[in-house]
Amino acid sequence: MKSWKKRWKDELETMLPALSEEVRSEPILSSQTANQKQEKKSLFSRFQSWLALRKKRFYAGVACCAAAVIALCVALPFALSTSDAGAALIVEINPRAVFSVDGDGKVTAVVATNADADVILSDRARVEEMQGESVERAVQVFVDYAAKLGYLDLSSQTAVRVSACGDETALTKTGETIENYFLDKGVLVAVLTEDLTTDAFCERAGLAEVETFEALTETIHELPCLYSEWETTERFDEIYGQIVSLDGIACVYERFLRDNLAKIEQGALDVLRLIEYNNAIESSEDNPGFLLKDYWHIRENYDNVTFTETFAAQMQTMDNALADYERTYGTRIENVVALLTVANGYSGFPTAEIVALLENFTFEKMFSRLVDITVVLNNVGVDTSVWEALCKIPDTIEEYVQNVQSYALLRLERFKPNYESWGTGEALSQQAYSDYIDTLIEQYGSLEAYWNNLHE
Amino acid sequence: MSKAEINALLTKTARGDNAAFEKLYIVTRKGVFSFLYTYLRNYADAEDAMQTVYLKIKRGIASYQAGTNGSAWILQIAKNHALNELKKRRQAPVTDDTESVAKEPVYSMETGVMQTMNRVLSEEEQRIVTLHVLWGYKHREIGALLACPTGTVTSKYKRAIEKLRKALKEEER
Repeated sequence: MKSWKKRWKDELETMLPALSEEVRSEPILSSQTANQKQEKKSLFSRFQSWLALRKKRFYAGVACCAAAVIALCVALPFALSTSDAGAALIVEINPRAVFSVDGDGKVTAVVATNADADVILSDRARVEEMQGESVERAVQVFVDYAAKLGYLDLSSQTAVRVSACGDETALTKTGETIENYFLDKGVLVAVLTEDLTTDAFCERAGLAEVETFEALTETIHELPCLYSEWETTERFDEIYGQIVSLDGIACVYERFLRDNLAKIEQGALDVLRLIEYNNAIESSEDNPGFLLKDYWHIRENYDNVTFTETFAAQMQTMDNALADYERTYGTRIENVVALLTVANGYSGFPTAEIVALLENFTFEKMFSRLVDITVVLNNVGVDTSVWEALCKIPDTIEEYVQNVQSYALLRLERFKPNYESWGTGEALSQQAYSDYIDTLIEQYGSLEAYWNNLHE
Repeated sequence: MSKAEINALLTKTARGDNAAFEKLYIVTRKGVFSFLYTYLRNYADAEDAMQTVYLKIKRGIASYQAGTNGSAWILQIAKNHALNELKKRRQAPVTDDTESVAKEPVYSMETGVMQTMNRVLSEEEQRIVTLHVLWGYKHREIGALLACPTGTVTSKYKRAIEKLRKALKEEER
């Protein structure tokens, strides 16, 4: 969804007319035209002022030369050391972060500039790993962690874009390192590199415009690491919403539910079996109970009674089934009410419905059945507390960071098999990469068009 | 739009470069229009005023000193013109309904951010938001422009943004 600022600018763009013909045809009363008007002065007065002007011009000339020499002395060392001024880089996958790099090519600051990058940079250890490291290595850490968290889907077409402002060496080195990182893993990922002006850099990174590279570096260093913390602190709940409402939580939860589906099915069968055994006990002719005939009541009140062989066997079967249930799911069913409560969970949300839900899983669907899902998962001993916490919109920035950290851990777990499946093949050659890029350019017209196509 | 870009375009315009002036219009018109709108509160008037402001820029460009704060120079022209227009409005005799109908905005602002801003923000809040978002002024600079303490600008901006976001969210529902 577009931000209100973007919407506002777009609205103005649409509604404002072109320059009117009246304004367009109006001649510019430029300084030159103004000078020409001055020529209307009389020749005599111009001659008088000419003498005075000559004197002034002489001194002004001397002053200008002196100023130029001083300025050159002051500015030359800076001009010659521009290559040491460092660089600023934007790395975009979908997570987008800005790196500030010093004159030695070391990272001095990393800042998330969208919600997905918060998930990566909420891991403080990862941020510390990048700080002080060479920019190419730090960006590789960022990209690798993004891949581990599932932000790079290598099973389909994907790309990484690195844009820079300042020292071009940082951009070149980083671009090459990322290309090689993917080639070593045996996957083809287009790596776009682009050198930008300060203005264009700010616009792409979503930062407030600044006039100079020095001001840009200053801005990056002033910003807190997490997007939610600097974009405006009141908006972290909204930013959290961006994470949870997109593929985010639903995507990870789907896997979580799928992984536990067999357990849920087995749990439903086990509960059904307990109900059957208890029904058999209740309806048995050998049951010694008068009014209350369930297994638990008999076990508690008729312990001194000698059961018939058949009935004793039925009670023993129930003993074993309950012990198995407790061993498997960690829950001891204490009485018939507890058994019916567990069974109700499955009748309210039977396995068939879970399967149907998984067929077209969305966050909205998940959220609408969250209570039911939680019940059946708890029935089979699965801890859902992390999910319950994640589905609550955080009230404070601390809660936000905590939730995003938990979310990152869940994503790591969810996408671990995908990540581990890469790099199992042979490394690819530079030639293979060049051929791949040629194909993309042929197909899309340019790498930029390819990037735009991926991010439409 | 960057301040340096505006300064450069004004300097080129001052040398008689009409293409630079046209570019100046493209990059500054949103800011000029919105700034004027905060005074005139009427689309048609703000649009007319905007064209006049650019006419004044063309006519007065010789007085722009290269390298000085070009956006402040433009905003000063816009502000003076807007205040003159308001003065004229106050002095004008009360018009009948037909005339006021003729003054209705050409562009319908029934929906959108602009309309919401108009509805929920005060003139001053709109001005602060315009200067910050469209002109890229820092709160400290806005304070200097509007003769208002920086802290007041910051709190007014924050409050304005909260109100605007809330209103936009409600509209989306």
